[in-house]
Amino acid sequence: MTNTFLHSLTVDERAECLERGSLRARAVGEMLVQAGARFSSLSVILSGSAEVRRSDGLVLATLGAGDVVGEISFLQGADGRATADVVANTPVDVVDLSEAAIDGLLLDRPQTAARLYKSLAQVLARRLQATSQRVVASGSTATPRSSLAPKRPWPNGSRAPS
Amino acid sequence: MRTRLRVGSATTREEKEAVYRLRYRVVVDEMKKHPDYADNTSKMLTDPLDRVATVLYLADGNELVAAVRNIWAPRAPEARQVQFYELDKLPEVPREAISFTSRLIVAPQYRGTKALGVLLAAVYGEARAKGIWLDFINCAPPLVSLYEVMGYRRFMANVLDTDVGLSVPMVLVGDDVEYLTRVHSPLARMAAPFKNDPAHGAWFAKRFAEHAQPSCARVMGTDEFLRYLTERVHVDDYPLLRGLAEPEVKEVLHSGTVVRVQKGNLVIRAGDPGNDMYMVMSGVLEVRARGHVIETLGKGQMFGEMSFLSRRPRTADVAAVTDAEVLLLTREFLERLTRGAPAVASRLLMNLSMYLVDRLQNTTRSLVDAMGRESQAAAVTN
Repeated sequence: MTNTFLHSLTVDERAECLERGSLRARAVGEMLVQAGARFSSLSVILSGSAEVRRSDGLVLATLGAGDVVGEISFLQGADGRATADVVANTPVDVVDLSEAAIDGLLLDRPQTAARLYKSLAQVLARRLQATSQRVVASGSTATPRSSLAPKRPWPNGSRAPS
Repeated sequence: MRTRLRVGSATTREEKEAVYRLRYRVVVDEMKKHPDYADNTSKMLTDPLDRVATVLYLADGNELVAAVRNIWAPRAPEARQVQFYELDKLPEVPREAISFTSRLIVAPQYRGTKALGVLLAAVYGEARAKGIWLDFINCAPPLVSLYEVMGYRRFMANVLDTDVGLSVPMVLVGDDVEYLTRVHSPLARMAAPFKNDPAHGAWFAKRFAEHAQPSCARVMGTDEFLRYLTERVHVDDYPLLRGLAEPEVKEVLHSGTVVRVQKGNLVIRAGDPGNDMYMVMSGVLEVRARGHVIETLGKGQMFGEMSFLSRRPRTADVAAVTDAEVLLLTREFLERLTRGAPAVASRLLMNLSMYLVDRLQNTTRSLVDAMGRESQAAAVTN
């Protein structure tokens, strides 16, 4: 559990984040996220477990309490689309943190917001580290990537000053 | 509580062993490094050079809180420092004028306090009294700015040390009063009672012309440093800085240290702990794992951010393919920014997350490709 989202926050900070979200309950077989859909919230699983499934049904990962869902499309803002289905395989409780909820947090509790963003970056860093190691282990020699930095709009639609 | 700080010279066996135990606590217990001279039974860290070194410590009451040693070059002609600092290239400097400062250890709760400065000032006093005017030190990149404040300067390429990872050799021309004064070093005042030869400062400026300029804001002065950086930084080229207003960009840059890396040098090494991340300011670097180049990095790109965030060891080497400049950002910097300017920290971390997502998608694609090739290969074999 030490690697889960918001783990590095204090109990109070975690409460400050979660109390701004809306609680959803999902029954077995219900989708938390649908591939291709615009999904602009961060969802935190409070209890139960869910599977990340590719279109052909292959299970890519199993998520549990403390895991975050939808973070990639959240960060991609208007362009963001969920890349896989996330389906409850037990009854699941999730808290959805909308963009507006997080913007509100940024205004009222900026330090907590910063820690939430840090936690998000940490989740991604760990996953990238794990994926990179698998690529290296698979013997693939080159990761194709653009030499220039990605340019995309901010999640809130505004553009960076140039 | 810190009014009782007292500098002493470790001469008795008890004092020396207390220093060796402090070293062990910090290097082995805290930093998880295992130098071959560590004694795991007595929990002490000492090597033969301690016998010829002047070992100084800083005590707070009865507690030892920091220590350092200074070795006078003539007393250790075989020391590895002689080769490490390439003294054979400096035949013009008499060995009697040279010393090596090393094993500088500060207990965690005294970091960021005046402890380091007090101890280095004590080393300076001891060294100058012996007639030493050239002192070498080898420090971790995040500490470069601290040493620059004291008046130390870089003079050679960074080195990947077997014990400590990437390190930056630096040197202090102890009687270059003009330079010490210019960078507001606290040592400038201490130089007064000694015989100071201006020719030594002139010698350094000529001999190491390419290293004459310091590289952190505290030494260069904020304006000069920011002018230096903003000439290079266009926010659009730097995904980490996108969305930040100019004063915010300055605040971020101000907190960093520019590390210059020579072509061919490693900046980070797989397996090392990683407390800092880097942003490429100029030049080209390569990420290598298991002998393969897995990425090429250019201006604006970041590296080291995975270990920085995950607190796991570095997974790959990063080496400079051309001469390069990288901005180093420490974990302490991020924590300071989170407390002092949380909105800026949030934006920075969101930018970092977006950068990670982009890399994650590329890496996942590579993995899927590699797995696809494997299954094709399996199909052919079947």
